[in-house]
Parts: sequence; structure tokens; C-alpha cells
Amino acid sequence: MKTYGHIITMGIQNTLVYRVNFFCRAFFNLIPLFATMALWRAIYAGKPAEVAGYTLAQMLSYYLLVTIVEASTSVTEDDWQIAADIKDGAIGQFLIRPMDYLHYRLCLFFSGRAVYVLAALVPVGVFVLWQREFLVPPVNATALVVFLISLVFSAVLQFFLSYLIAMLAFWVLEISSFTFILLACERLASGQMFPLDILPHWLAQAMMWTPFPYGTFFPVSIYLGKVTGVALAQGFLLQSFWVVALYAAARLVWQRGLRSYTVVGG
Amino acid sequence: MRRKLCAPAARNLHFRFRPIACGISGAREPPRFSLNLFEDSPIRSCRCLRRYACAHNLVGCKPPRGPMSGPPARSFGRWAQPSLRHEPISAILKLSQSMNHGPIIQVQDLTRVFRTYKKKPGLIGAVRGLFHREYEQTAAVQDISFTVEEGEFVGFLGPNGAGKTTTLKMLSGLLHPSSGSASVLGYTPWERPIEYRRQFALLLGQKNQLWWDLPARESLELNGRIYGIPRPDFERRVGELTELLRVTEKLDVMVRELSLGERMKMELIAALLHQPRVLFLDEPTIGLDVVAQKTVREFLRAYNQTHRTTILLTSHYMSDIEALCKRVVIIDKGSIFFDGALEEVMERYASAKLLTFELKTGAAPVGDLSAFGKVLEHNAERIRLKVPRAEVISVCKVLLERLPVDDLAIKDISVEDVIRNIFAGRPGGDTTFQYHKPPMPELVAA
Amino acid sequence: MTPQPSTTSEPLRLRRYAGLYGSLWRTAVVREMSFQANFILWLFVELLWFALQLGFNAVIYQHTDSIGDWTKWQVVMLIGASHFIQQLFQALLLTNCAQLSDLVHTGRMDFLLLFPVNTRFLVSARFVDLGGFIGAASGLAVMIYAAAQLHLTPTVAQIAGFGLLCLVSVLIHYSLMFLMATISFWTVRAQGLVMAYYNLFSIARIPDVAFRGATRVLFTLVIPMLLVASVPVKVLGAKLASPAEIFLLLAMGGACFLVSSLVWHVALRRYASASS
Repeated sequence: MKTYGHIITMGIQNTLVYRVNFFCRAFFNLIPLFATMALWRAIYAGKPAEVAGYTLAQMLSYYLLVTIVEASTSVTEDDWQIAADIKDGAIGQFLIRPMDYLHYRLCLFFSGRAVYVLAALVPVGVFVLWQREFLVPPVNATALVVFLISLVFSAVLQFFLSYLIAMLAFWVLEISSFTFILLACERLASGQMFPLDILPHWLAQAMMWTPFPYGTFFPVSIYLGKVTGVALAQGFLLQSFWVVALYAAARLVWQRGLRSYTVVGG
Repeated sequence: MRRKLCAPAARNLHFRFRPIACGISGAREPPRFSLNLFEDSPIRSCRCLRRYACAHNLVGCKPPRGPMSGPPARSFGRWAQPSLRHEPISAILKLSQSMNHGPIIQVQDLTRVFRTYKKKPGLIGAVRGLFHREYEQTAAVQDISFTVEEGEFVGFLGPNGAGKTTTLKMLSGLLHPSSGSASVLGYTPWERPIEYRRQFALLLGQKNQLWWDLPARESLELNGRIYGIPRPDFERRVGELTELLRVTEKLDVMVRELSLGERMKMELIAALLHQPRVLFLDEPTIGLDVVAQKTVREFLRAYNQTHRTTILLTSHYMSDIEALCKRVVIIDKGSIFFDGALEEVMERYASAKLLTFELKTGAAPVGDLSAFGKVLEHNAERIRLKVPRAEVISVCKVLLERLPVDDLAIKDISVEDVIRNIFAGRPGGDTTFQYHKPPMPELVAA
Repeated sequence: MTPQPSTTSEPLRLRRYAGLYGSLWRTAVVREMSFQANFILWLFVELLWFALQLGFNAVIYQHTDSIGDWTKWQVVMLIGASHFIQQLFQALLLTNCAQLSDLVHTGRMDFLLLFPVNTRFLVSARFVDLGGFIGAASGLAVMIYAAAQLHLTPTVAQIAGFGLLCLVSVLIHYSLMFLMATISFWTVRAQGLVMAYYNLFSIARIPDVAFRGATRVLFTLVIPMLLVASVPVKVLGAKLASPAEIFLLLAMGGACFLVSSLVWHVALRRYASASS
């Protein structure tokens, strides 16, 4: 246990180098956010009072919350770092040491998130404060608590997804194109572009079968009180299911990859 | 005879230069231009302007008679550039005139100071580093001054971090000095005038300028384009250089698949395509195998002699400096420690010789010998002493009588050891500094 | 010793740079052709992102009829034009700007500084991304489809104006991106640079009526994203409020280029003073 603590501390030290990078990233991410919010304001100024069950305030809060969730849970550096480790042969160290690579990387992910949240605190905080008139409070206290719990699940889920894509580095030279495809899917299906509710019903339902909505859409819906009671429990179950399933998949692909790695010779 | 030859030449050439042409033809003053640029030109034996003009196709005439310096294909002297054909004779004359004036590189009190940030260890240190960064100033180069004449081959010697690469970079214009001045070919390097960039080349042994994913030929062609080298010249130069360096069949291989030695040779070709007047080489033979080192060295020596290119060479390999440079500049901690002939280094600093006494077996142990010189090895079989030159004979006499000596050898200290001792002897000297002398070629299997 | 001109001949300057650019093109194409699978994959990724943007637009217009005075197909044309300009920029210049920081950190910038050619030109023209031309073609195709839906019949003058203004827009993209890349000389990694670019230029897809007040001024007069795609489209669709917008775009193009040149000179000077 202590080793993991140490890894996290070391990870924080290492990632501090990227603090300017993170700051810029968080800052520049606010720009399309602002653009989308302006767009929605223009749409609502047109005529409707509600779009797919979202008032203007709720719609704008949705986007603000998505930003907060993204800042706390999305994967920024880990995917290409894992791929680089594989390509450079640095994972060889882990084959001879009693340290599990997946857990190691998970620790580094958390330290990375810690630094990112610290770096993003100022720009995102200022932005949310500026737009605070649109931020609706959570439906009730339990909703907030459940929201925070689901944030953790969502972070782990997103990490496993990226990890799986990074595993492709065992077989493919450049994984950046695949990372982008994953990002595109995430943008659409996890509700980062727009709330999944505004899609035609059948499409939204189809999306819910993928793990993506449980990254961003699900936690935000909890906060906004769109998901309660039985649906909430079901959602949680599904989220946990996906976390476990992706963990298992990650393990499997890792074994496969190692086999090909040691056969080929790194 | 000469007068006859020169008169028609004078008639054909620009009116302004008739006095010069006639001045050559029998006047006692030396010709107003010098031809040492054109060493292997066919006019080496004759300094007549007319022959010169013929060689450059400036006037129509029969091909010059006289000894040629070698098969035409091999001689890639500067005179052979057809582009010169189009230069007015005045420019050529002016060019060769000024060549004799003043040193080609002049460095005066050049200094370069760097700021390096210090990072404190641990998490607390890292966080503290966010708010307050400590830095220290280090002088990589401190008040160095030297001059280099045209055609010289100068070696720069010094341990890592001595400031050799920094100096070369300043002379290439990549770095601005903190203070001091320098002039190369009459230009201030760090102003990076385009004309200057056309006339020099820099080769960094540890960095790669060729495109990684392309065949070497493509990189060379691009370089040719950038320097504006006419196509037939380009082909010819590439052909000659690859032949001399023995990499002709590697031209179409991807750079990333070449061996280190082949890559370095290609880099050398890329640097020499535009026939620079000044060549800066920063550790060109690093990492090369013995055969490749020899080839590169031979090539550089020949190139320096045929083209009169001024070459500044930085190397860790003593054998490079020994083989190529008559003049060596020793740099340590950013200052010039010694600037002169290599032999002088030996004279000045190799003031001792190595005496090795092989003792007879079963001899009685001998007492303290430190009075005779520095004791390097002292055991029952062998004694090695470092003895000042002047005392060698007297020490030998005494010890030969006193010790049961089986065999005696007297050796000079190698240049390597001399240099190492220089650096070790200085305050804060780098005793771990090693010149890696590669094994002799004879020892390597053919 | 007095400076001497070199002895190599120098053809007309513009011709020389054009020839050099041609060589760089050839080199880049040869290089691209050796990475075919990657090429196709990236093509797919770009088209996917384009489709996403169009999809978002379609979904929005399920719930409303207009955004300000922009109808559905007008916005589609706007998205198409923005994509067209962006892909053109990406094909010719984006990769080079993004690689600037890498060049500095690996030390290759030193070699580029040694050549007797304008360094900015060399840095900006090193690579050509052929996939960008296909992406540009897709943007153009979408525009044509949207124009058909709107029953537009643009005159030759309008099309020519559109073309010219697109070039100015590419210049603005280039200047701003190069400015950002130059500033990242000093940061540890410029990995976020391309991300920043995409984020910043996503504003070009939004109809300008959505912005009011200070932000509108910011994105028109400082970072002219609201002009970049919308002015050419307005020219094509005869939606221009006044011809002043064209002049504004041209003026901003010049201004952005000037600023980025200035910063480049400063950065080069600083690089030589600071690098080790």
C-alpha cells in the first residue's frame, strides 16, 4: 500500500512539469464551451422554453458540469505515455519487478488528475463563477454525494478505456489516430457535445448500451436530478459492470500484448 | 614570350585590368593576385592571366597545356565551378586579392554565460520550485581569443563541458555571445547574414541533419536546392564525395537504416555540397568504428589540402587531433589553456619520461624510491618511475647499480597521458577524463 | 578582413523560393507515400470529426428553426466553409507550426538556422499533409450540397471573392497558429498546441449572431474567428451586411501576419541568446 502512496507522490512531482500545459489545456477548453453556451442561448432566444426537458438554465448548467466532470476524470497524458512505454521497451522493467503495470499506471493517473485539477482550478473556477447565474444547485444533498461517488467510477472507467486503446501500441506503430477515434466516440456518446436526451429516443437508447455515457452523461444527470430511484440504481449497476468488464478486458489484452512483445523481442 | 601571350589577353579582357595583365608580363613586382586558391588547376605552373582566363572559359582559346594535377574527374577545386564563368573578372580578382589579407577567423574576448535552474528534491522542493526558482550563472566560455588563417586545420581539445561546442555554435551564429566579438570571413556570425550562411558549414557529430525517413539522396538534393547549387555541379560533387568516402551504393538507403558511420559520412557530404570556405566539425568521428574513422580522417586531410578549406575540429579522440591538426587549442572550463603546435605541448608538458625496470626474480625487496621520481608501480617484479627528462640518465645510472635489474625500458609519455595530466593537474581538474584511443588497426581482424 | 560575396550564382529570388518549395513538396509526398495505412486512418478520423459537427447541427435544428437569421442550410454551409479553410491550412501549414517546438527541443532548429534561406519559410513549408486536400474537398462538397438546398446561384465574382477571402483566412489561421507555436518555444512540451488550435478555431463554425458585446469584439478584432469563415460564406450567399466586413477581414489578415512576424523575430533573437 505504501508503494502506491509513494508512486502517487512521485507521479505528482513528475506531472508538475506539465502544469503550464494543463493550465493552457483547461483554459483553451473553455473556449468551445463558451461558444456552445452562446449558441444555446441564441437557440433559446429563438422560441422554445424547453428543449427535450431542459430549461435554459439546466442546459447551460449541463455544460458547466460537463466541464467540471471532464477536468476531474478525463485522461490527458496517460494514453500516449503508456504507448511510449511500450514502444520504448520501458515495460520490460515491470516484467522483472513485482509491480503490476496496470495498478502502477492507475496510481499515476490519479496523481495526474490531482495536478490537473489544481492547474485547472483557476481558469475553470473563474469561468464557473462568471457564469454562476446559470448554475443550478444540486437537486438534493444525496444527489451531490452520489454524484461525487459516480465521479470516481467514471474516472476509473475512462482510464480503462484509454488503457485499452494504448494497448494497441503492442501491434500498431502509431496509436494517435485510434486515440482520436476514441475521443470522437466519447464526445458524441458520452454527452460532451450535447445531452443525450436531445437525440431521438431510439438513438439515445442505443448509446446507453455503450460504456461511454457512464463517463460524463450519467454523473451529470444524477446532479441535475434527471435520474432518480430505480433508474439511478440501475445506472449505477451498469456503471460498475462496465468498470469491471473494462478492467477484465484490459488485463486480457495486456497478457496478449505481453506475449507478442516477448516473442518479437520488444 | 610572356608579353606576347598577355597582350591578346589584355585586349580581350576588361579595359580596366590591362595594367595588371601587362604588369605580370615581365614586371618585377609580384602579380597582384595570388593563385594559391587554385592549387590543382592546370595553371599552377603558370601565373599568366591569359592561362587563367582560358581555364575559366572567359576567353575563347585552346585548352591550356601543362601538367594537370590529376584526372579531371577527381579534381574538384573551386575553379572548376562553371558559375565562375559568369562572374566578371573584377570580382574574381578582388576575391583572390582579399584572400591574402588578414586571418579568416578572428575571435576577441568571447564570453557566453548560461543560466541553469536548480531543482530541489522531493515533493516539498517541487512545490516550492513553483514559486521561487533558484538559478546559477555558469560561464561556458570565458574571454577566449584566437585567430585562424585561411586553410588552417585547427583542433580543439578539452573535456566535456569545456566550451568547445559553445564556441563553435557562436561562430556559426546559433548563439549570441554575452560579450566579446568575432569575425568569420569578414562577417559577424550572430547577425546571420545570408551571404555568410552560404559560405560555411557546421557538422554536429551528435545531431542529425538529414531527414530520417527518406533516402540520403533526397536530403542531399534538398540541400542542393537550398544552397542553389546548379544541377550538373550537384551531381558531380555528390559523385565525387560519395566515391571518396565509399558510400556510393548507400545513397538510396533510408537514413534511419544506415549505420552510424555511413550516416556520418552522408552528413559530411551534405555539409560539403556547397563547398564552404569554413568548416566547423563538432566531434565528427564519435561512435565510428576504426575503419570509418580512418576513412573520414583521410578524407578530411585531403579535402583541407585540395580546397584550402579552413577547418575547426573538435574531438575527443586524440588520434584525430594527432593525425590532422598541426595546431591545437586546449580549452578547459571555458578558457583557452594552450594554443599552439602539438609538438609544443609535448615539449612544454611532457617534461618527464617513463622508466620501467624489470627486476630479477628472487631479489631482495627494495626501499623507498620516491627520491628518484614519481613511483607509478613498485612490486617484486617491476618498478615504474616517472622521471624528469634531465634526470633520466643519472637516475638510470644509480638504479642500475643499486637494483638487480633484468631489463630496462625508457618511454615517452603518450600525448594522451600528457593531456590527461594537464587536466588532472589543474585545480578542480577532471581526473576521470579519458581519451578513448581506439585499438590500432592492425589488431582488428581484417 | 572585408566580407566577400560567395561565388555561387543566385537566380531570381522568387523563382528560387518557388523551386525550393517544389522540392519540399516532393520530399513530403515521397515521405507520405511510405505511410499509407496511417494516411487512410487519419483521413477517416478527419471525416468522422466533420460528420460529428454536421450531426450536431442536424440535432440542434430538430428542435429549432433558426439561430438568429441563419437557417439550417446556411449554417451547414458555414460549417463546410470552416472545414474547407481549416483543412487547407492543415494540408499546407499546420503540421509545421506544431512541429516548431519539437524542432527547438531536439536541436534541429540549429540546422535550419544555418541554411542561406529565410528560416521562417523553411520552418513553415517543410511538410505537406496530403490528407488535408481530401478533407478540403469534402468541405467543398458539403458546401455545394448546402448551396443547392438553398437554391443559390453565385456569380463568378462571388466565387472569386470567396476564393480570395478563403486564402486570407488561411493566412489568418497561419499567423495565429505560428504566433502560438513561437510562444511555445519556451514551454516544456507544445503537445497541447494543436488542441488549443482546434479549440480556438471551433468558434468559426458558430454563426456570429450568437456572440454579443465584449466577446464579439474579442473574436472579431483580436482573434478574428468570427470573420474567418462567415465572411466568405456571406459573400457567396449574398448575406453581407455591408462590404465593410470584407475590408475588415483583409485588414485583420494583414494585422495578424504583422504581429506574428514581429513575435517570430523576437523569439529567434531570444533563442540565440538563451539556448544551450
